[in-house]
Amino acid sequence: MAKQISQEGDNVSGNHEERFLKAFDDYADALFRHASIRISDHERAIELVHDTFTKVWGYVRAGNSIDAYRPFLYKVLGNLIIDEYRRRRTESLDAILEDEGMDTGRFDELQEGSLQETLNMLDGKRMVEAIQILPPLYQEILTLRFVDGLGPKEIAELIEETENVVSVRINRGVKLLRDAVINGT
Amino acid sequence: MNTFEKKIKDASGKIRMRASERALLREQIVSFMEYHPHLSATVSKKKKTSILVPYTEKFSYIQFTPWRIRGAVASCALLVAVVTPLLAEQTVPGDVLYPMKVRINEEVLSQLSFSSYEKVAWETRRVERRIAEARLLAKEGKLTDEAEAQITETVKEHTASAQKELAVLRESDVDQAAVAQVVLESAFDVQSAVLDTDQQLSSTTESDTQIRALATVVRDAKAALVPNTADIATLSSYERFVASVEESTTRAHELLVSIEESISTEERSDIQRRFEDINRRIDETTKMYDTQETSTSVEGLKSALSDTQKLISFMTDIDVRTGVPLDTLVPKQLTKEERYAYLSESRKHMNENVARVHARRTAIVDATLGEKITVGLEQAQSLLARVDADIALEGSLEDAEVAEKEASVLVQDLLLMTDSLDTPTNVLAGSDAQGTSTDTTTASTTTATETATSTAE
Repeated sequence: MAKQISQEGDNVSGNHEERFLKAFDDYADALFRHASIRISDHERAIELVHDTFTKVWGYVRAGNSIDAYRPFLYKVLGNLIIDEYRRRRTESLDAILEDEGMDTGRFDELQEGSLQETLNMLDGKRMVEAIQILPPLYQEILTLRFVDGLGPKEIAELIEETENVVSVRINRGVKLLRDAVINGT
Repeated sequence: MNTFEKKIKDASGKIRMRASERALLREQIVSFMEYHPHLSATVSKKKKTSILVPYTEKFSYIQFTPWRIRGAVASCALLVAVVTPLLAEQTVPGDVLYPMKVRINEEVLSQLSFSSYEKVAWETRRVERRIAEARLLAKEGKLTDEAEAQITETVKEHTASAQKELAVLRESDVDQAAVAQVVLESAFDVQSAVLDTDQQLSSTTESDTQIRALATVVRDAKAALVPNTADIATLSSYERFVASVEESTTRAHELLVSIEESISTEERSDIQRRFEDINRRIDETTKMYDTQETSTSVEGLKSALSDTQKLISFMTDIDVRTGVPLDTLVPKQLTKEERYAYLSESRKHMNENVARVHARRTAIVDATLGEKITVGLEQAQSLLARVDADIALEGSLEDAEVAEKEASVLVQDLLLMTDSLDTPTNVLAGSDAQGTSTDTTTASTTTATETATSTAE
């Protein structure tokens, strides 16, 4: 994920800046989406993405190099989200959903498609909402898998588990999600 | 991708930042990068890290690279090797670090003393340190029986070590051993004086007992030293003592210069006076040596060296300076002129007192008492005549002083015997004028009658 390489001169520095900004352009939206679903707070999700990129740049500017930005960024963001969970530990999940959760209005704002698309979205939207009320363990794995589109191998590296564990967890998470959507539980 | 996945993907795909939010975020990141530029020009070419992602609270920690570990170990070693011994130096018995002070610091310093002379000097210094600790504890009321026992034991140990080294030194260099012994005895004298003063000032019986016990240990330690007179009356001893005295007096003069600003004019004057006394004694010993009185001259040098050492202790040890009068440590030595002047002054006062006794004698009715007074007066006048003769003819000063002292005691006794007949308002005792025998008056009160009687018989 992170790899140390030799650093020489301004051209290297410039190269790092370019690569970093390209990573921002490529992954900022995906990171925001991931954070937004997991913490259900639009503004806070932006702040976490901001913190993710500043921390990663701090790592890069100190002379370290990153081969693959995507998993690295997800890892940093994941840790920040865990910290966020810890800060919210005393608050109930219901309170989070009620007070800070993603509301329907926001989805309406984000919708840019036709009526048919909106109807098709309904189930998808309910599933996204259902992900948010799953236990954090499954919330993370399903978000990584279905929202961010990472494969089991990448997820395994990110959460530092084996691929088998990841697959089992995805399978259980999907069952929980289906139950939640169909039964409303 | 199945429908399930596709629906989630589609639904979540609608979750995104507004364009304005995204632009603002990018601007903030770029600004952050400008304020925190890449450090490639200043950082090391290669950095190793033992972690994957150190940039969140969850994973942030110090990287224990080998050089950092070495640095930490070196820092700890420095702390243990330098700071702890320094802290230990401030301790007293009962403190946690005290054993380190005595068993490590001082033993290391002891090992750094290569010659036997240096070892004796160091053991002497250790005795002084132990007594200073005991005094500090006693002053604070913390001198427990255990601490006192510990200090007493260590004083004995240091004294034994000093004696052992002195014995070794005598085998190889008897002259230097003699000098070392004078220094050691001087240190004991100073510490005895300090403890005696403390004892007089002690407010509690308990601390008085403890200080007395320590003083006894010091006195015993001095008494246990082998007499330092047998082998030193030689030519080489004289020269060695001259060198030692010269060295000590030079050091003492330098010390006086260094403390001049911190002492009063009176103290400075007192110290200067002792220097003059010491120099005079050295001159006298030189004259004696010229007349082949080697043994006596060496004794004089020993005395000069001892006084110089005490003077050095007085100037270097603030406890000694504040606790013990200089006159106790190094009594003032009168010059020949001062001794003659004193005798003349004393003689004058005694004439007045003799006249007073004569006047009272006429009023005495008791024949026996009258006879005693008469005999006493005759004796006193005889002694005073001897004093007058010595002064007038510049005879033996020592004889004159002895006669003056005897006459002084006798006249005092006569005054006391006739005290009931007339209360003197200005009775002067010759010795009191010198200020060295004030106790004589009181002590002689009870023996006045006996003295006069025995004289009459």
